[in-house]
Amino acid sequence: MFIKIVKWLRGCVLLVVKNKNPERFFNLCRKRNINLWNITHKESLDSSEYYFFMKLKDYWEIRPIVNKTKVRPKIIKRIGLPFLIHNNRKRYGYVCGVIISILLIYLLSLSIWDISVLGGYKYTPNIILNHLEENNIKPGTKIKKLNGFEIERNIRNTYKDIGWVSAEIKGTRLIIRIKETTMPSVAKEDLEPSHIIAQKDGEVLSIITKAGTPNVKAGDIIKKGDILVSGLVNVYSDFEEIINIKPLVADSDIRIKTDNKYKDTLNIKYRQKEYTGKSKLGISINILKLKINIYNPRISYDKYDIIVNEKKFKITNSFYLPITINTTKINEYNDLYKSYTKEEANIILNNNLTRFKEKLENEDKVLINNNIVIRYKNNEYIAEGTYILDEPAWSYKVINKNEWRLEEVDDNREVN
Amino acid sequence: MAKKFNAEDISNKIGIPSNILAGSQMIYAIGRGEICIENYKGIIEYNQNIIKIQAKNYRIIIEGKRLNILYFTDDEMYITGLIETISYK
Repeated sequence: MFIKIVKWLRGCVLLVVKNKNPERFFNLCRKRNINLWNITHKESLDSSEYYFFMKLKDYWEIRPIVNKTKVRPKIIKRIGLPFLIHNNRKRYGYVCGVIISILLIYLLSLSIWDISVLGGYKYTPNIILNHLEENNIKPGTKIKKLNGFEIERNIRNTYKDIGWVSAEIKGTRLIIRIKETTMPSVAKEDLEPSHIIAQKDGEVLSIITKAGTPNVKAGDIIKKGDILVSGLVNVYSDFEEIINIKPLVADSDIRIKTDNKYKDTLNIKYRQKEYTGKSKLGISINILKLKINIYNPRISYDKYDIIVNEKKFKITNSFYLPITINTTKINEYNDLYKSYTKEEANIILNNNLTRFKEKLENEDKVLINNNIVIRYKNNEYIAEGTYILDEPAWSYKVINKNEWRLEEVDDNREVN
Repeated sequence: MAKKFNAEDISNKIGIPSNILAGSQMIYAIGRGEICIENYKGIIEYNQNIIKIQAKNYRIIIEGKRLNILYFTDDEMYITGLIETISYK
């Protein structure tokens, strides 16, 4: 393959000799280090022809041999770059076009033109793209200026619950893959000494304290704001006297049984779009930031949907160009007012409830019991009731410095 | 009478392959369609049915059909085609 490319770059010629005895010519060529290849002989009734290939450079050196052997080689085919250049020497526009397109492709390959965000569930691609744009990473940024490691660190630092980020530059594409985690954020570790307090009224189901002094036990009824685990730990002497109070971040696994209310309403009337079937098409091309409307239809409809399809131009899967074709489709519709039947309302409200239950599960909350009923009132279907949860309804409350320092002063007074 | 100097005999006696010292011809035939000849002197006759090659002390005659010379350099020649006979003269 490499040899073929070199031969093409240097150029070669296919020659024909119409002579009975070209052997002497071949031998002399060999003696002068002129390489011939693909020598074939074709014989017909009235002629005998020998075809062979020769380098273009060697062709200029065979004159003495030709004179000596009286063989007349004739060129029948020219192959290679030198001939291509020679043939196109007067086509300035063509040559300029080729050079400009090569230059353009080279210049375009220096920047990224497509940013893809994959794997996000909570963070949509738009959020990540906006964040990147704030950091000056957008289509058109020079690839040289991008640093995958920096981008990864930036995203990880901004969004604490993105557990894993990878930024890959592939051709003119920047591919960002993210994985979100439901793990508690690390920030809590940096808290100041704090208590654990109840977020809701309820009953303590279980409490396992890792750090701090527990104020409640399983089965206790608690109110919102009660300190469940105190962040103050008494330090006792050998005589069981308090000699010091040490503040720390209370840590405990607490499950609380709480009563909660649920309400979901559904209006009996709803609007449905009825498409009339009339539609208009518009086409526009975006080159860099320039928008060229090829056809922009006048919208004469009262109510309509606009659906824009964006198609990016690319040379290969990883070489995207800054050219997009947008096709706009405008569909006309009429509003149709309908009412839900009881069955339909039941299905919708039950689906909402199922989604709500799934959400609770994801938040580490266990539904113990629920009595939610669906009823009809004032043109509305209402799903209403109470449900009992087993949940970790607690939060941190930073310890006020006075809480433990005052006690310390009291201790001193006692001593005095 | 002085004995004639024979390079092939000497190379046989001292155990060196004869093509190195004596410049003997090497012919590799690959199947029936390809032949590679090394250490030849020149082409005597060539057409699509016969190729006569001058070697050091004799001639090699290759007969066949549609014989082509794929390439030939100073000491190597590669022939393709349907080969029928290889003879020495």
